[in-house]
Amino acid sequence: MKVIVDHSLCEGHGRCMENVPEVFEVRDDDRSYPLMKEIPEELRARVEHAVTVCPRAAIKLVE
Amino acid sequence: MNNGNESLTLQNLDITDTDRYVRDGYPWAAWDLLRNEAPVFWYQRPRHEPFWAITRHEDIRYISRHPELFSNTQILRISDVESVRIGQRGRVRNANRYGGSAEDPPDFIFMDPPEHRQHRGAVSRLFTPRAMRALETHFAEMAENYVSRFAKVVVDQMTAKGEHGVVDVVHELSAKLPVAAICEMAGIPEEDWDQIFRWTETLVGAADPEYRLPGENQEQTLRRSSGEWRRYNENLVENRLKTGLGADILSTLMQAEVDGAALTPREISNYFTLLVAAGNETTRNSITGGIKALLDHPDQLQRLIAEPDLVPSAVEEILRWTSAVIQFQRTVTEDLEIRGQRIRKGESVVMWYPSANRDEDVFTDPYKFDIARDPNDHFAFGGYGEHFCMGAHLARWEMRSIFHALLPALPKLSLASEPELVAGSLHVGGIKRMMVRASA
Ligand code: HEM
Ligand code: SF4
Repeated sequence: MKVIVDHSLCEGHGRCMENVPEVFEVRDDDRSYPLMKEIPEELRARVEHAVTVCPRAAIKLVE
Repeated sequence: MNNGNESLTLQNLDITDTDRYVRDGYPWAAWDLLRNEAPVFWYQRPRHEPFWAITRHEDIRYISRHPELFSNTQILRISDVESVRIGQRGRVRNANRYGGSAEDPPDFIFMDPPEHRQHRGAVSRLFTPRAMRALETHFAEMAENYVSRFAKVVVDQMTAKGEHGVVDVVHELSAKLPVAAICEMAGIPEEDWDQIFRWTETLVGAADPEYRLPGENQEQTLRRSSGEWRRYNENLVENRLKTGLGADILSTLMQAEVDGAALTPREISNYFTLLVAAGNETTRNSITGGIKALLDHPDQLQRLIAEPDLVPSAVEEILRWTSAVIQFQRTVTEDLEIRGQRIRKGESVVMWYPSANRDEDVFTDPYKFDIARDPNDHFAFGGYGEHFCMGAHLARWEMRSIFHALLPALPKLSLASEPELVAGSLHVGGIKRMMVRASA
């Protein structure tokens, strides 16, 4: 499983980083960057939660 | 909860009659019934084009995530047939003033991706959480200043009139910071702020006769105030050209590029208008609604005073509780189904945000005002997606600063009468006046 953050939508709201700091980092350009290429299965539930609470619906999960 | 003696049914419920909004407030009981019995409901009533009423959190979430299926380019919100006509004539005048066609999107709310992202992106960086944190201390100072001026007005009234002394929270407090904050970000000089406030108030509230000059109708009021505002706006642009560009909203728009081209004068003026106007009534009503909610729930107020770290969470609950924006509309781009209802290309869906904010599938005890509610994924700023409120963090910081500063004074205040609501708006649920008095 991978995550993709669409930078044409992301505005650095940071809900992703609040929920899964291991996976998302919001940088000084107000955009979120995934910190891992492959997301381990045990993080799935929390990453899915980040997907639903992102105010811009900018995060996608790809299997 | 009921709308009078007659029992409420899908056939007789009404969620679009603005007279009822002024008299009874939001139609909570009707939304409850729709959510439970007909969450995707074909709503047909006189004076409105028919539409699908969408009342559940989950469905509003779905629509907000799919701008390719639910377009913003046609019409943005329902209003009565007369207001729609006035709006169309306004678009023609706007095109005559600045060039372009009345069919062009007036601003980026009326766009779909990919254009929408490019145009919103021209200014969105000025409103991110990081940009707001940089202004945090400054907002806190402004808020304290406005709260102490408000406190002084209250004390003066009491000294002058004793127990008959009452003060309007809306004009003496709630309205101040939203205008000040956006005007400052926009680089508008302080001596003009009161005038800006009056323009935006009439632009949003012209359906209410109180905001018109004697003898004017709704359209004449709109034409007069928007003409004055546009001239002011054009002067600002000229001044910037003379004195040099800065980091403010207007300068940013004047320097922005989309696809390698500068924004047109019409885009600059319309985006600037959107940004200056979008946050005033909305934030003002959320502040007033929050003051009312805390006064109505003394246990919650006491808790907040004891645990001021809860202010950010209380602000989220106030946003959910007041749900200042009533609805936005989308036009369906292809035949599709929601919850088994077949919706055809070209039909309208209307998302009722206050209803989503009372959805019992998402919020435990949704009619309980709970300043520590967690999670609180409310849709006061819209469902999450393409058009999510660009000023959400600005509004949050304003509200946090105001409630922080006001907290110690709140227990001494009480409502002198029920709030008076703005007439004729199906967009922002406005409190026109809310009189309070102070106990010694
Ligand atoms: C408590 C105050 C506020 C509330 C309740 C509120 C609510 C909303 C809602 C419901 C939407 C539509 C979202 C959608 O279609 O998904 C919206 C959009 C918008 N708001 Fe706010 N708003 C508030 C304050 C502000 C402020 C202070 C600004 C200042 C710039 C602002 C600027 C905007 C803009 C520009 C849009 C259009 C975004 C787009 O279409 O891309 N709002 N707001
Ligand atoms: S929550 Fe969404 S918008 Fe916010 S930083 Fe994360 S990806 Fe970006």
